[in-house]
Amino acid sequence: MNLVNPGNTTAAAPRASAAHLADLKDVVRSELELDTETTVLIQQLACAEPGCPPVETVVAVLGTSRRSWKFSTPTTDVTTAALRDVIAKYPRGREHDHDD
Amino acid sequence: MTTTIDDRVPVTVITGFLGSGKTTLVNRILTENHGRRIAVIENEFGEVGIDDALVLDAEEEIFEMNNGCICCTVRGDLIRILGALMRRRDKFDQILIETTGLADPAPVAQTFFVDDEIRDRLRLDAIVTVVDAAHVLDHLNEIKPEGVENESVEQVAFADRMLLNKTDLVSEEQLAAVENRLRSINRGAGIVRTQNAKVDLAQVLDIGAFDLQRVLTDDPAFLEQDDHQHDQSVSSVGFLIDGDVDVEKLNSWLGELLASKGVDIFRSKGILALAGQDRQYVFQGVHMLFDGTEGRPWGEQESRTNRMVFIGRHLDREALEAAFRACLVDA
Repeated sequence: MNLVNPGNTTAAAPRASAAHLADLKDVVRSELELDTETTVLIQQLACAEPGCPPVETVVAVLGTSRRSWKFSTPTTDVTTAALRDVIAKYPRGREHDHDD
Repeated sequence: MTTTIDDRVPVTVITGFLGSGKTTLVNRILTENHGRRIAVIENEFGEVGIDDALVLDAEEEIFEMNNGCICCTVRGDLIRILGALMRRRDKFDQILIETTGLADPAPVAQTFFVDDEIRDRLRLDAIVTVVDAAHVLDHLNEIKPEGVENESVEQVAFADRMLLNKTDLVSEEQLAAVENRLRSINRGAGIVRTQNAKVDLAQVLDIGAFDLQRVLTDDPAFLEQDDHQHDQSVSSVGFLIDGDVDVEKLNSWLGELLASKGVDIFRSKGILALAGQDRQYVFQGVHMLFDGTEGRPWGEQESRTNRMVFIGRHLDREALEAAFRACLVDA
């Protein structure tokens, strides 16, 4: 049981379930046709450093072809459809989920 | 009484400045007849090739999830290698990671907090820092340019246990001075004096040093009030406070604290009495990343005493303690 969750400063940012994380990782792997050796990382961050949004979700593929995508929302709010769309649009990664 | 069995693979991280004796320690661990099968991940090519030992070389892949923020930095190489190792889970009993002398311990430690698959299958058992008794004060006192971290201070601050090595090269007075300095940075990590990194492996492997309960059993004085420090140096703050904690207040405070001060708070540990819970809540964090689980049940006659420890820079004991007291149900 994870009773304390300091990333959860506003009750709007609980941790995602293992099933949701697995679904998101499956999307990354299938969209990019990654092998099982390639590491996919999904992490919700709450950071008050300058330049960091209060809560965001980082989706990353590590290794030689490293790339990442960022969502300014908790992981629970990142849907498989949204992730699939972003990866299809920006297969080489994108640091922001909004138009600059 | 039910006991939760933690069957995750214990991982020991060995850190220490260049020349402190890390590789000697690793070689000793691999060659001693202790009956454990150990997989070794090392950064530098060494001549370690021991039967029944898996030795993998890692090339540092620092992954900053947020640009330049140390709180959000992990080691991509470790995640990948640990994932590969776990596919050979039947080949070893525990994992040893030897870092380079200049490696920042934070991304290594944080790696065990970020990935759900790693968290579920591996347990960071301890960060063991090897210290060269003859040279460590010079390293600790070295003034770095602004914005550049003093790696040896961080390695000491992150330690769960310190091997004060090469004790034969200095006098007893010097050893005492070194130990005082090490404790001023990290009061909680036990110090073991060694020569040629010769140590009882029970002091290094599977020691559960990330388990605050065991730390307190080994050293009940760990949380005692230390001299107040309110300067820029790295220090530790620990306190014991009776009473039930309001989870919502705690979440709010810890969330804000670790988000705003996560850069300065290297390590945090705690055993908490959450309101309405029969079991202890045990947590540990590295910078802003944090994990917690239920611990053992509180004893019927046991006082519900919360224990908190912070190690880091610019720590303000009074402010931390007052903020924690404000999280109590009766506050």
